[in-house]
Amino acid sequence: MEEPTEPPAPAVVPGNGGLMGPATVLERCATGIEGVDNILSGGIPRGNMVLVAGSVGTGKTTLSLEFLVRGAERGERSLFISVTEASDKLMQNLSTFEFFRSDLVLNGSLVFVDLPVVYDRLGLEHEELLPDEIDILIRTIRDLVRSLGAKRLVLDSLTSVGYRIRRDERIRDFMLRLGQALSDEGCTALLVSEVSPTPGRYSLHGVEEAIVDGVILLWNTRRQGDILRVLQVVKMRGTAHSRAQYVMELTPIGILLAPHLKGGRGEGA
Amino acid sequence: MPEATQVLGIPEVDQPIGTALPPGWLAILHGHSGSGAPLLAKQFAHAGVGKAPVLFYTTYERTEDVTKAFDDFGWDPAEIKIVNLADEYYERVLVRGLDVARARERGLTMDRLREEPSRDRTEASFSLTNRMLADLAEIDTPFRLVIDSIDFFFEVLEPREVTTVARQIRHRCQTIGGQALLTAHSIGHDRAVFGLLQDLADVSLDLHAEPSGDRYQHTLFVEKVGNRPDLARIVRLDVGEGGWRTA
Repeated sequence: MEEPTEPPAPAVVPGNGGLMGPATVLERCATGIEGVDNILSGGIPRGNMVLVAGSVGTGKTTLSLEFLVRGAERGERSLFISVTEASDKLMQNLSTFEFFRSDLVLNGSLVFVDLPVVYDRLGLEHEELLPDEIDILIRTIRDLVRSLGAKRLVLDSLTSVGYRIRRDERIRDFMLRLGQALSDEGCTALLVSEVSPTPGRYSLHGVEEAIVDGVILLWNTRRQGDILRVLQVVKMRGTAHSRAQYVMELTPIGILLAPHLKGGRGEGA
Repeated sequence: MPEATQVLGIPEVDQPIGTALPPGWLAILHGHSGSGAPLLAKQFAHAGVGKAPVLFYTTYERTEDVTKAFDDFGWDPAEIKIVNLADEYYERVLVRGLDVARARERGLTMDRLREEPSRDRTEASFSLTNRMLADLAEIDTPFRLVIDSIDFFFEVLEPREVTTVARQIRHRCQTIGGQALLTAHSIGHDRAVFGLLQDLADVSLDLHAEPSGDRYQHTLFVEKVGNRPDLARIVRLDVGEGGWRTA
């Protein structure tokens, strides 16, 4: 496994509610995607739960997977929980990217779990999950993270889980408790949110973005006949970050970001 | 005198009942625990051997115990298709319940997630009704069928679903000349639902065992035979080498 090339800079959070005082230094979880780490001054604060929001085809899953692959390369066990797509098929698609290394899967550094299998094993068969079933789901995700010693997690997608939780107050509770459980394990999480292009809204219920520590927004935009993918970090607690828009390219070697020159006609966000 | 259908395999009972019944009919046999209704159900099944395919659905006995009971009375079990619905239900529903309980109580590990699932997730959930009716649908000649007992259906299904099953069996009997017996051992059934089952049945039987000295005396109440109240009667029975017989 490769060593990290350079340790990411720690995040500094002022104490006393932002007034001058002793500062807390947060450990960073470098995404391993150079452009994103640059935006985030070194990476996501360790233990943060971040929403990766965007409509279909904007690169949410690829970005999330690269985050895990880069983590696994750095010796951080990484867990991908897939809700809508079977992980076998996902890995097949992923193998078209040069950055994907199947040896990481074989040696257990990168672990794929299909949530429908988890639902099945736990007997979570109700169309709408009951409160005690939501408890079981949170505990199970925490247990998997704990037993694997996973330091990175992707849930693809939160939207699909949200369809089964349904009620705003329950999704809020689910996310608060999941976020706490993952943070306690030192696990940094990306939750994929499939949103249609509605300005100012990043999730199914609309409460998710208020609870997560960060929001990375992806959308498509048209420029001179092309459709470009655009990335913007809208929110990230615990670190200073740019809110500029970047053109995101999915290349065989991974995600590349370039400054987004204005003048295009956006389709979303 | 027209030839009587072998109903229970007890000539003195079969003679009056059998002559009054159409080719296809449904019977219900009620008997409390210890009354001997399961033995009478097996005797009913044996009485059909050689005349039609015989299906015996057991819901609470082990298959080997059913087979042995047939053997003990000299009834060849090889001529009867014995289906253990309780075993199938256990394997396809209850075992999964155990797996789920373990996963919920002890937690899921990656090793457990990678284990072979207890069922194919693409497989439709087990339907007791479909399981039995699918067999029935494949028979297109006169048949004899026993469900011992319908109590199991009441445990698993809604009462309305149980009566629907009974209606489907009865319709199949009437359509292709089948003869079916449903036993009911429990006394805990909803009286209205059980009454509806008795209404659906062409024949309603009640087997009783009452202490008499140092033994039990068995009495068969033939409560209903089609539209022939004159054939209702009370018969004393005991068990001999060949099964139930008139005392």
